[in-house]
Amino acid sequence: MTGNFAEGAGSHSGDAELVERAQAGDRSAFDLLMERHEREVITVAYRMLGQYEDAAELAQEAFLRAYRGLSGFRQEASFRTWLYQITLNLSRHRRRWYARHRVGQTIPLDAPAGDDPDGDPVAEKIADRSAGPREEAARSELRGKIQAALGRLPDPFRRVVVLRDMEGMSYEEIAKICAEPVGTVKSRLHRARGMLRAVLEETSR
Amino acid sequence: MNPDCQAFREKLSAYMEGELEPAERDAVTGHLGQCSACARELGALRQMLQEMKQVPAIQVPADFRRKFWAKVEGPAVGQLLLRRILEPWYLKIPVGALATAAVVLLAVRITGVVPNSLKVGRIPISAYNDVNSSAREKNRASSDDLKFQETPAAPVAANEGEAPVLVAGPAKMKARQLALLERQRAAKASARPSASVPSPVAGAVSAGPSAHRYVSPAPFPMNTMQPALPGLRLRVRLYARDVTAADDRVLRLLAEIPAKFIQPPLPIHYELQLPPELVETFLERLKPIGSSMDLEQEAAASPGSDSPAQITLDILSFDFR
Repeated sequence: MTGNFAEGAGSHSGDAELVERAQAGDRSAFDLLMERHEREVITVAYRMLGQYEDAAELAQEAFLRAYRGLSGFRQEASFRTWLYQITLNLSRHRRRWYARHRVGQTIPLDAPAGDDPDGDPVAEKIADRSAGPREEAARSELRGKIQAALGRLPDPFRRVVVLRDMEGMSYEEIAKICAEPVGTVKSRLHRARGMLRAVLEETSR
Repeated sequence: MNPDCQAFREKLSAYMEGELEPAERDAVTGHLGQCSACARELGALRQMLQEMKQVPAIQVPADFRRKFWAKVEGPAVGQLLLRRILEPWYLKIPVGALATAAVVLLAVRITGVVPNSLKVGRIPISAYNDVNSSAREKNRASSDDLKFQETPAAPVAANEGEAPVLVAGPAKMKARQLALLERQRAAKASARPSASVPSPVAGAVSAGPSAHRYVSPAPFPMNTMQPALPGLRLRVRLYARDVTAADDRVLRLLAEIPAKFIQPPLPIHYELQLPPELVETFLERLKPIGSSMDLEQEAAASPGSDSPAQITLDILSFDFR
């Protein structure tokens, strides 16, 4: 199990207080909130978009919206849930834009999962997990394959599988983020996994 | 694949998670005992999920938060665009007014109408008087934007280097502007006690002699990186002590814009439709009414002449053509 899971909901218990302070105008509180969540926001944005630069930019935008919308945020959901909602909404819009402008529609699945076809910029930006070179190479390939396969999933399926199987969220949390019943989330997850398996199977042939 | 297998495979994920009903679960267990292909698929699914969990998180760019705070401080895109349009004045526009104006701008682009006009208060030439009040009364009825006029003359003195003031929307904005200008004026007056600055109080000075001086706003460097503008259509209204003087100012303002682009439905009410190539000129011409030097000479040449306190240019609407 990786850091993604260790950083689950439990460690964000102080968010509510930080949000209140930020709402009162304390910028350092919002900065702390960003520090806590920036990595997961960028990561989810990357999983949704498959492009590092765009993901970083989108994450900025998500935080900007959160910051500007802070006064209207009543803490009915957790800050993290709200942040994910914003991020995923922005991702969906960005993906639609990609579709209209035919961005990234023909990424070969064995290509590195970055925006640079000649290199693997993502690998450089991914946290060093101090693995041996062989293991690292295998992981890099795996990342590329999984990311490319994710790119083939429609948005609602992709987000569920990303949140559950990559970010390790609970069904309840995902249901809140997606504003859907838990049952829908579950059935969508199972279908998404099947789709992902099919894509990987197809490409490994 | 066995035709049955497809149905089973769709259940493998839920099976793995223990989410199937007991009967279903048993059926799948039974099938897996007999079908090695489906058993392998279950293994592959588990393997995939394991691998997905191991895909590491993405690293945050080092300057992520610094960039964020820079964006928080910086103006929004709409504000930037507005600044581009109202370039000569923008140095004097408080951010709050810009935000309001940006909203107005968006409304313009959608509807073609400015809900609340943007008002450009020109620097006074001398004290305001009410010769033109009937015309203003007429306009008051036709527009919701005339709170500005309820304090007839902006208490601004003819300070060199003073930029015109843009006031958008609510009256409180105006009040802030006035307070700001008052402070600036006071500062300058105390710095140069000998300078004879006419009393700026609204209506208090009627046609008193004054320094007949126009003031140019501070020069503003054109940003060559800015994108070219489309054509600009403006409806403007001009307030001044008398219409003739206003006309004169406007004509000087617009001297380089061919007459065919200027349609005056009323003497003090202009509609300008500018092709792209003239927008730059227009903005350029709007910056100074005249150079301080010229106007000081003019004032010296006609001492004692009185003129309107203020020329107010209201931008009633603008849009892009």
